[in-house]
Amino acid sequence: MTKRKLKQLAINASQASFKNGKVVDSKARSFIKLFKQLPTSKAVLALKEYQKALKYQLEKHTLEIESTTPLSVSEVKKISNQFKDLSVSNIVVRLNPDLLGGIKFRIADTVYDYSISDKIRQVKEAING
Amino acid sequence: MADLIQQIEKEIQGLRLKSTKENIGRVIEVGDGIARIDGLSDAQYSELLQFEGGITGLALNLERDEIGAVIFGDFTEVKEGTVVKTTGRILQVPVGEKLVGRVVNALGNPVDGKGKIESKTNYPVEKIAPGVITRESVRTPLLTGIKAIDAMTAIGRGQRELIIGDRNTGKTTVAIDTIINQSDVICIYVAIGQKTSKVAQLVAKLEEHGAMKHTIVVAATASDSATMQYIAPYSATAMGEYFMDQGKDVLIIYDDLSKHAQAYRQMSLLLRRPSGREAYPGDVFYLHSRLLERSAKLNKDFGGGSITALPIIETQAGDISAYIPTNVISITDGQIYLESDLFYAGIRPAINVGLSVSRVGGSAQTKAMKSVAGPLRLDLAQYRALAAFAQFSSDLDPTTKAQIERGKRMTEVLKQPPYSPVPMEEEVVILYCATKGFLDEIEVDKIKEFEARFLEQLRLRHKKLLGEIKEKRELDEKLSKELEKVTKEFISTFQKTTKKDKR
Repeated sequence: MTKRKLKQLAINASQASFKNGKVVDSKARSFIKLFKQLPTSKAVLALKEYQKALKYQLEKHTLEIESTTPLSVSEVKKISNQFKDLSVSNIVVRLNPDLLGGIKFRIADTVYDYSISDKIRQVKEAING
Repeated sequence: MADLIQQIEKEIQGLRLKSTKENIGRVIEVGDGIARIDGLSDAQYSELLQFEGGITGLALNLERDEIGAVIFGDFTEVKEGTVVKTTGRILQVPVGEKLVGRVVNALGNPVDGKGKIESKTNYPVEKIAPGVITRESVRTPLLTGIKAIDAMTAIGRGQRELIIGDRNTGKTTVAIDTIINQSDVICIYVAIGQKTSKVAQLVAKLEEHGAMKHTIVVAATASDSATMQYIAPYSATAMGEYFMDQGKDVLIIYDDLSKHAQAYRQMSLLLRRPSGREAYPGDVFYLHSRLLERSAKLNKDFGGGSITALPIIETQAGDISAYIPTNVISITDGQIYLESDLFYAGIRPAINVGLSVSRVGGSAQTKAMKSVAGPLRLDLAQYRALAAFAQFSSDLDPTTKAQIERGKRMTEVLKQPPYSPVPMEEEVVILYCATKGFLDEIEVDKIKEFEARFLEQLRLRHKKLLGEIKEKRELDEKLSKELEKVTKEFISTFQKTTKKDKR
C-alpha cells in the first residue's frame, strides 16, 4: 500500500470515527487496533495520520469562544445556536482580557472577531494608510 | 498639531468598522526563510500572508495538510506556533515617478538613504503578459551607443535581447552603456545576487554620467534572501509596466538571470518541490518565460508604450548549450554573445559577431544605419574566414590581402572604451568611413586616433551635417556626397599630419 493510499485510509477512518460531532470511542479503538497490525513503519505513518485527521475533525466541530468576562450558560447556549449549521458539538470558553471587550469565535482555522482590540487595529491600519 | 488631530478625528469618523472573518494558521516549522503552516485552508496560491509581528510571506506550496510559505524579511522573528493570517491580497509593489532616481529593494522600499518614497499606486508583482491583440511589431530602435551592437545586432523597443557570456567579459558594461545612452527611456536596472559593493559602484557610475535621473535600481544583492532575489525581477517589471501603461518606453536590465534561477532553485528545494535537471525545479523555464513575456511593444490603442528587456546570463567556460542559457536563448528575440578570448585579445566590447543575432534585425534600425551597416557583417564574416591566413599575408593574392586589411580596420573601428556611448549620427559617420573603404589608406594602429580627431572635427566644423543625419535618420544622396567630400578632405589632412609626426 502506498503512502498516499495509507494517508487517505487514515482520513476516511477519522471521518468514520465521528458521529454527531463527537469521537466514537469503540470505533476509534478498533481503527487503532487495525493500524497496529500493519508492518511497523506503515503502522507508525497510519497512526500519525489518523491522529492528525482526528485532531482536524475535532477542531472542525469545536467552537472556541474568547471573551473578556465569564459567560453564563444561557449566553453560551445562545451563541452555539448561531453556529448550528456548522454542526458544532463541542464548546470551549476562554477568558482573554487582551480583547478589551466584545467577543471572538474560532472554528478550526476560521476566526470571527467581534472584539474591541480588532476594531482598534482597523482604526490603526486606516490611519497608517 | 491641531490640524493633524482634526484630520485624524475626521478619518476616524468616516471609518466604517466591521467585524472580521479571518482564516488563520499556525507555524509548525520554520527555517532558512521558509515556514510550514498548519491551517489556512482558504489560502490561495501566491497570496500574501501576514505573520504575527508584522512580517509578511507568500503562500507557494498548497498541500493537503499544510502550507509552504516563503518569508519576506527577518525569518528569525517567526517561531513555531506563530499565528498566520491570510490577507486576501497578492503581492504588490509601489510604482510611480517618485521611484525614478532611487535605489530600492525587491519590495520597493528605499535602500539609498534618501528618505521614504511616497507612492499612491501599487502594481501586482505577478501579472499576465499583454495578449496578442494588444501588441504591435517592433519598429523603433533602442540605440545602445555601442557601434557593434547598433550596426549588426540592432535592438528595437519592445524586444528581448539576451546578453550572454562568461564572467568578466563586459556584459554589465554593455548594459550600463545602454542606460547612459538613453534620454527619453526610463531605465530599470535589477541587480540579482550581486555584491553590494558592485551595485554601489554602478550607481556611482550612473550618477557620474547623469543617468540616474532616468533610472531606477532594484537591488536584491547576495546578502538578501533567496526569496527577495526571486521576486526582484518581477517587482522591477511591475515598476516598468506602470510607465508602459502611460505610453512611455522602458528599458529593463536583469543582471543576472543565472543567479535568479539559482535563488529559485534554493527556494524550491527548501519547499521540498521535486527537482529536475541540474536540481532545478521543473518549472524553471516558466520562471523566465513569464517574466520576459511581459516585455512588449503595445499598439496605439493601448498607449503605444514598450518595455525592452536586456536579460543577462553568465555562462561557465563559454558553454551556451547548458540548461539555463538554452532556456533563455529560446525565449528571447536574439542574443549578444561576449567571448573571453576576444576580450583578452583586446577586442572590447568582446562581441562574437558570428554567434550574435537580433531576430528583429533591420526593422529596428534607422535608414542611415542600414545603409552603412549592410556590408559590415559580410565583410567581417569574410575577414574571420580569412583570418587564419593573415600571418601568411605576404603569400596572398591582392584581393585576399585587401579583404584582410579591410577586416582589421573594421574590427578596430568597432572597438569602444567602456562608458562612452556614441550618438547615432557619429556611429553612422564612422561606419560609413569603414564600409566605404576610406580607412584602407590609414594604418591600423592609427584608426582610433583618426576616429577621435575626425569626430571632433565634425562636431566643431560640420555640426550641421551631423544635425541633419540625426534629424533625417537617413543618408540621402545630398548628405552622402557632402559626407564623402568632408571625409576625403580630412583623410588627406590626417595623412599629412601623421607623415610629419613620423619624421
